[in-house]
Amino acid sequence: MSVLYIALPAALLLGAAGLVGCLYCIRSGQYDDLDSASLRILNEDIENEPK
Amino acid sequence: MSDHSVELVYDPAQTNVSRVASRLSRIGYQLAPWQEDFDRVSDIIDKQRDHWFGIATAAFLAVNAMWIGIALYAGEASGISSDNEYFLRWIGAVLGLLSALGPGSLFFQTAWQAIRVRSPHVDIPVALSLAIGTIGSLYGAWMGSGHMYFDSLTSLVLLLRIGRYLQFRAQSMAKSSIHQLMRWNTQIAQRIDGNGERHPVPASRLVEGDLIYVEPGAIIPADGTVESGESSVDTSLLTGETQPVVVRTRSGVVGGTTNLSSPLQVRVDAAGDASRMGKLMAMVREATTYRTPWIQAADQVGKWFVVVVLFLGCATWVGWTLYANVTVATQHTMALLTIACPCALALAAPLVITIALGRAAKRQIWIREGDCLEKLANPGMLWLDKTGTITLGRMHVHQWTGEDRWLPYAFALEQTVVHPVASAIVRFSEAYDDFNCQHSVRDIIQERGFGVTGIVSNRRVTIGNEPWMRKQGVQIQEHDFVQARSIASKGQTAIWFSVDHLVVGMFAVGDALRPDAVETLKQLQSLGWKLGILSGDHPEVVLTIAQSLRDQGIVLEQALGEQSPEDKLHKIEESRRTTKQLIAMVGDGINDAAALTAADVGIAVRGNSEQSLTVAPIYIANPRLSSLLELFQASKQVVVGIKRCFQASLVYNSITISLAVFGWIHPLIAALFMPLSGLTVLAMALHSRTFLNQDLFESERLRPS
Repeated sequence: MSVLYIALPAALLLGAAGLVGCLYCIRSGQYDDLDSASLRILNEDIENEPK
Repeated sequence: MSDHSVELVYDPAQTNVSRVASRLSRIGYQLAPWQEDFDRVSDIIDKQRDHWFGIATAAFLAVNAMWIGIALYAGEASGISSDNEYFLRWIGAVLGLLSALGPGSLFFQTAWQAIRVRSPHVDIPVALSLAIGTIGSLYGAWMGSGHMYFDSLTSLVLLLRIGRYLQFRAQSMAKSSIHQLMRWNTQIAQRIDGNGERHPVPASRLVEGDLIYVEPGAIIPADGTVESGESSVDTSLLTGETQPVVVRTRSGVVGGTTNLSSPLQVRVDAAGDASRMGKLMAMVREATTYRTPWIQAADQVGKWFVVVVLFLGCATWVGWTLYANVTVATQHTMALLTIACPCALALAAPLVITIALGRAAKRQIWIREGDCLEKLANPGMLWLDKTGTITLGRMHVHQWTGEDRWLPYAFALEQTVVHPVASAIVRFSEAYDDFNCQHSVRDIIQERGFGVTGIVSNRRVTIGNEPWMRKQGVQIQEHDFVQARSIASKGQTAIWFSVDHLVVGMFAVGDALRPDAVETLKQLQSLGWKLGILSGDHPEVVLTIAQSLRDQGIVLEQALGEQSPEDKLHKIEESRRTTKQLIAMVGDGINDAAALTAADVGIAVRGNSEQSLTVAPIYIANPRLSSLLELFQASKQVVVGIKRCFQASLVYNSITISLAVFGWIHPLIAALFMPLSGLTVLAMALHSRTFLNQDLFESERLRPS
C-alpha cells in the first residue's frame, strides 16, 4: 500500500477546500465590482459610514 | 443572435406570450418580463459570477491534472510501479471528467441546443473536441496505458472558459456604449410629496402626476408641465435648436432636455418609456437588433464554416488513423476542432455596427436602421434641401450700404421689435452699438409686413420696405432704387433705413449659408457624392445660393427652386428610376417628409426627433452640417471595418486549419489561439475610427498648407 493512496486524495481535498473558499467569495459578491474600490477615497459622502 | 438579442413579432390571435416563451426556452433562451436597467446590470453580474465560477473550477482541475500528468511523465521516464500508474491515471481521468461535466458543460449545452434546432453552431466542434478528449482519457485509464488526454482536456476547458469570459467582457463593454445612451433617465429625481418636502427617487420610478423639482443645470427627468418657476431650457438634444427655449408656468417641458437658469416645479405627464426620449431610445434600440446584410452574410458564412470544419475533422481523423495511429489522429482532430471556431466572423459585423450606432448617438446623430450605415458607404446622388439644411434658415444681414454711425440708431429701434428681420438687424448692429451714449426711443409705430418707425434721440428713424418709406413720407431718390434692385438681384431683401425722412442706407437681408456648408459640401464631393439642391424657396434665391456654392468650386448637378413637397417626392422617385445609384435626401423632418421616405436613405436635419425618425432612418439633432460628413465617413469605416474583420478572420482560420489538418498544432496551442481570433476582432472593432475624427475641420486647418 503506497503512501500515494492517502497523500494524493488528501492533497486534492485540501485544494478543493481552497476552491470552495474561492467559490464562496465569488458567490458573496466580492469580485462583482473591482473598479470602484480604488475610487472610493474620492467620494466624500461615504467617509463616515461604517465599512 | 450574435448580439445576444432577438426581435420577435407575434400575432395575439394565433398564439400567446407564454407559448412563445416556452418555445424560446426549448431552444435555450429563458424569457423574463422586461426589466429595468439596474436589473440588467445585476444580470451582467450574475453572468460574470458564472464565468468566474467556471474559471475557478476549471483552473483547480487543470492545475491538479497537470501535476498528476507530470508525475506520470516522470514515471514513464524513470520507472513507476504499475499500481501507482494505474491509480494516477484514474485520478487524472476523474479530474478530466469533472472538468468536462463541470465548467465544460457550457459548451455541450449550447452545442446540444444547436443540434436540436438543426442549425450549425460554433460550439459544436468545440463540444466534439471535448467529448473526444473525455472519452480518450477514460479509455486510457481503463487500459492503463497509451496516450494521456486528461491533462490536455482540463487545460483546454480552462482556456476555453477564459476565452469565453474575455469575449463576454468585451461584448458587454461594447453594448454599454449603446446602453449608456438609453440610461438618460436613471438619474435621481427630486419628487415633491404632499407636504412640500423633496425626496430623491430614481427617475425610472416616476409616474404620471408626480410633482418634481428640477434644479438649474439638471436634466429634466420626464416629460411634464411646469407648475411654477420660470427658466430657460436647452432642447438641442431633441430639436437641434441651439437657442435656449424660455419656459413659464403651464409650458411643457421634455425629459432629457437640460434646465438652464432657475429651479422649476414640474408635473409629470409621461415618464420612462412613455416619454418622448424613451420612445426615441426605443427606436435606436430597435436599430441595434436590425439584421443588416452584412450580419446575415456573416451568419450564413459561419454556419457553412461549421459544416466544413466538421467534415474536415472527420477527414483529418480518418487520414491520420490510416497514416499514423488513432492517438495521433485524435490529437490532431482535437486541435482542428478547437482552433477552427469562426466566432470572430459572427462577432465582427454586429459589433462594428453597434459601436458605430452608439458613437453616432453620442454626437446626436440618431440612427433607426443599422443597415443605412452600410448603404451610405457607396457614394451616390445626394439631394439637399436648402432652407435650414445648407442655410441657417433664419434672416441674416449680408450687407449694410450706409455709414456705420447710423447703426446704433437701428440697434436702438429694432431692439423694441420682435421680428426675424429686426433680430437680424439687431445681431448685425450690436457690434457697432456705443455703450457710452444710450439712445432713447419713443413714439414707436410698428406695422406687420411693412416696418417700424420711432423717435430715437430726437431723430425720426424709419426702418422697413419701400411702401413703408412712402407711407412715412420719406424722400426717395433714383440711386436708392438702383441700390434696392441690385440687392434684390442677389436674391436678398432690401430693408430701407431713413433718418429724418432721408434714406441713409439699406440692409441686404437674406438667409445665410451655414458656416460649415461650403467645406462640408466640398468634402462630400471629394468622397464621390453628386450633389443637388431641392428647395421650396423662390428659384432666384436658390440660384443665388447655387451660384455662390459654384463659385467656391462645388459642382451641383441641379439646383431646383419652387419645389412643393410633391415636386420633391416626384424628383426623388424620378432619380431613383433613372439611375441605379443610391439616392439620399437631406431635409427637414416635416416639410420634406415625403421625399425623405421615398429616398433610399433619408436624413432629417430639422424638426422634432420622433417625427423625423419615423419618416427618415437617420436624424441629425445637432446644428452642424459637418455631421453629414461624419456620418458618411463613419459608414465607410463601418463597411471597411467589417470587411477587414472578415478578411482577418478568414485568413487566420484558413491558416490555422491547414496547420491543424497537417498536424502541426497541439490541442493546447489551439485552445490558446481560439479566443485570440475572437479577441483580435473585438479589439479591431473597438478601435475602429468610426465617428472618432472629432475635429474634422480643426485638424484640416492645422495641417500646413
